[in-house]
Amino acid sequence: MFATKRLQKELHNIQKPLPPGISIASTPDFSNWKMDIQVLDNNPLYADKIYRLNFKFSQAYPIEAPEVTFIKEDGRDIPMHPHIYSNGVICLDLLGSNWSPVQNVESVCMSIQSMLTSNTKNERPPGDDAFVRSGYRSPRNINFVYDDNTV
Amino acid sequence: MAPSRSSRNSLQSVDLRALDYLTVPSANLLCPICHSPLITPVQTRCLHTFCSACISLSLDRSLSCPVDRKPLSHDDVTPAPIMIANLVNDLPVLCPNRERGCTASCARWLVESHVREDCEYASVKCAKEGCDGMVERREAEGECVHEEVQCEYCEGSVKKVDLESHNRECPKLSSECPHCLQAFANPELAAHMAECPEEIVECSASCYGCSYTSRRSDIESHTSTCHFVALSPVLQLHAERIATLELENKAIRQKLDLLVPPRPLPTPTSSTVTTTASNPMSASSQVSSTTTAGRDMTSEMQDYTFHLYSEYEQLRSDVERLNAQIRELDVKQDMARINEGLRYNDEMTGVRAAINGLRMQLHWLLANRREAGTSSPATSGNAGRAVAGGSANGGEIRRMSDSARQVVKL
Repeated sequence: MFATKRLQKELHNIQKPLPPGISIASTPDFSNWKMDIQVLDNNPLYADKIYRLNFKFSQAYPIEAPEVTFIKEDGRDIPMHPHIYSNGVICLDLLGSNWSPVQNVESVCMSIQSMLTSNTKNERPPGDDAFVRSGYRSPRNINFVYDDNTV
Repeated sequence: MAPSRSSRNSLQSVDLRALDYLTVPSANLLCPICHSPLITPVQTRCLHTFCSACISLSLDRSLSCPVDRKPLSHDDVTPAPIMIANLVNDLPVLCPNRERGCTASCARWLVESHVREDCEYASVKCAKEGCDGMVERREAEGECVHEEVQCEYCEGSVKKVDLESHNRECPKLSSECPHCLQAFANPELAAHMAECPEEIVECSASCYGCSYTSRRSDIESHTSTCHFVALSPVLQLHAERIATLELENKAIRQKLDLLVPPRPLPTPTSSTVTTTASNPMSASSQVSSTTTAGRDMTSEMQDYTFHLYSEYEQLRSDVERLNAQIRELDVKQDMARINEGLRYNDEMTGVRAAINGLRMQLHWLLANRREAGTSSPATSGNAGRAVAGGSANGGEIRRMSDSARQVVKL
């Protein structure tokens, strides 16, 4: 109830113009939204590419963080980034221990957008192969160590 | 009223969080966590305001302020100023029974008593003795609808209140499809109606202007040849684009209204005066103002004059502003000049005093020299003796030695 009401309001708000580079892909219900994001400056890693983010909301949203991952869909790829595993899982403290209920879908999209914008390394996180093979799908089960403050 | 008022009170509880508001509340009154107007507002040590329930849920998960992430404990949360609570409690809300038909709206702090005592659509206990059923207040006066009655077709027992919906589904009842006139058992009727081949349906592109209608069985052949259907993807795309453009336009217009205040309209008399005065063309157009074209022209001219007038007003205010600035500058400059003059005056008096002093000394020296010249040249030897001789002639000695020092200085 709580989560639905708040998401209704957010949906109403993002019908108004969103920040550049962020758009709604689909919002079929109040437990799963898809957003498209795009890096706007001419970073050669991400130029002219659109990426799709999948938001999964639990009943405890916004007290609990949504599960946010990149997904492969409609020809969208997983962006190259030292904090994004090739199965789309994002290692970002804002989505884990540093989540605050004041954040919303728009602010999360903007955080991820700026995380991509500032990146220059064309690489995956260390241990990507092992991580993907181990088959974790839900970021909730992972205890990331947020050791890198440079990106 | 047969039963006492208290027994007719509704037990329906009101969830304040689920209420809908009559107006869009100010963003300042929204809780940053649930994005709804604050309920039981509390404030933190870092002076942020939240709903009491929201912040305690958030603190259960992480002991920091959700807004600025400063460390925060449950003890750092105190009730917000009463004024804030009053502001949110006064917001007008819609009755929670709106979906059942209640059109009432009232201040939020009154909504609970509205549902408990007044709302015609709130559920109250059935008036019949021993019946546990619930009924809407406006129907409570009538007979009890929770008695079991027997369906006259399928012989099952049904509550009176459910009879209507039962009749629609009773397997023993059948009704006629209004289109093909065949009889169907009630549970199957809805499924049949959705695909009855005899029903008259519209072309699928009717919203784009195709007026063709036919029986459902024949519509297929039309769809394959209908130009509107062929065009409909393009048309739909256009419609969507127009909708987004309209939305954008609306947003831009709102922004514009914010940036540019509405143009001040001059009074009608002054506007006609300016029309004739500023633009001789408009005189002729006013003559022909009996025709609609003439009237259009006049209004156009008037628009133009309004424009000129507003521009003139703007220029006048500019000139006024500049005048004021010049005056201010004048005053400033005067002040500066006076200040400087004063300073120079002071300096002059200082210099004058110094010169006076010098002149005095010069006079004294000259007098001294003259005296020395007229008396014997042995005076200087005298003086030296007097200094060595002690206090025989103190005043004079002092002056003599003074003068000696002065001479050295000069």
